[in-house]
Amino acid sequence: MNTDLSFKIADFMQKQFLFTFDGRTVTAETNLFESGHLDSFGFVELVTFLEQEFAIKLSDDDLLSNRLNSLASVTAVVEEKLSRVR
Amino acid sequence: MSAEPISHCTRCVLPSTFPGIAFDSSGLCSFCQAAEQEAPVATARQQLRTRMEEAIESSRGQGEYDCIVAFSGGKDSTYTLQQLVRTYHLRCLAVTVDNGFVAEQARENCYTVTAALGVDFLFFRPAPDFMAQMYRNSVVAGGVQSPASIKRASALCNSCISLINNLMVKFALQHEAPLIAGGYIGGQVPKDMAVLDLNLIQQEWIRAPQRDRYTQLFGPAAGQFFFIRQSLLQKQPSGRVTVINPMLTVALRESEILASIQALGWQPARDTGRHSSNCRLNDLGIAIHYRQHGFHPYVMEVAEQVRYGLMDRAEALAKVQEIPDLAGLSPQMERIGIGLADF
Ligand SMILES: [Zn+2]
Repeated sequence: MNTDLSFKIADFMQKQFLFTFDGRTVTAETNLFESGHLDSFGFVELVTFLEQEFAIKLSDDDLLSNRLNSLASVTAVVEEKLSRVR
Repeated sequence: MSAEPISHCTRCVLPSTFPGIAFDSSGLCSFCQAAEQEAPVATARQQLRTRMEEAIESSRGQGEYDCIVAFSGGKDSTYTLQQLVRTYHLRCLAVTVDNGFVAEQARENCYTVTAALGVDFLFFRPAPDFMAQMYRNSVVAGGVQSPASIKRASALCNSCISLINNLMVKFALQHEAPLIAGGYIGGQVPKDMAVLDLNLIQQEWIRAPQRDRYTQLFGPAAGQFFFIRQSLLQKQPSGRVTVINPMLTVALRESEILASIQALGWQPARDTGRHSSNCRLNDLGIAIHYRQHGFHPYVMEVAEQVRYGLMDRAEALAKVQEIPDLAGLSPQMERIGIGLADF
């Protein structure tokens, strides 16, 4: 996993959604919707952040695939997008 | 002698108790600093309006109604309904969800306004027992809403908003309406909610965990409101509805909104507190929120109005510093079954 990227996304999530990746109750693999840390408003904010910060466009498939649910999988999706741009 | 600690942003009135806030040396908050980096708000609003108008045009004339309007009878949703009918000529079904605390005057406004605008109107009241249970557990049980939800509204409001949003999706599907409109104003929801293409299948994985939590905490009756049957989903073959919030695309002061809707016969309710024009439970939500979190749950939206010049700073400060007295709210507390020891 790209740690710079992951760090940036984690930083946004923690500040915006008011929780901490403490490595025990919430980890990079935690499904944040199931754990209750993200809701549908948060999802809108997350998508807007990712598109603006990394200048990417998330497709319907990305949004449908329920991959945008944990720090690790969000990072992976962004990484894929960025590698395709390059 | 040390300097006075900062209590409120020197521009927008957000308090130092607001989650995640930081101030620069001049007392400007991190939210105002971030806003300075964004595109001019007038341009952003214009872009959102264009997108919203495109969504409106492509949705017209498809279903039984063009648009389901979440209509509380309060000032913002009244203005919204008026705009959709008079400016955009949409065939609307206005739906009011009666949470059991709708002020008498607000109820009258609902009937008066929908008659003046010539739109069909539905007054829907979920079972009072369920509503009381939902409100009670929103206060008493932990983890009902996401941690960030405290920035937007009180726990009571957040649960009610969830319920209403879900109901509106159901009404939209039942009536094959491609649009759902709300009266959210800036600061209440993310700006992108001016136009939000809601893919219901996508929303399913987002909402399923929330729905499970609600059913667990609010009892099996929650399924009635938070669950969308497959057969209902299939009524919209595209799997999509578009949510619009027209107020996010215009710059209006409260006085302009009031002047406009009073022409429809709308009158202010006198028993709903300072921040609501329809709900008699709102003040309790504010008082509990302040006691639990140390800031007023309306401060985010009030701050945004001030930041963009739609409200005077002094008026805003007065609004968010006046906290309703719990002593006067015991009838409401009794109805939802909570006491002072519960929060
Ligand atoms: Zn500020």
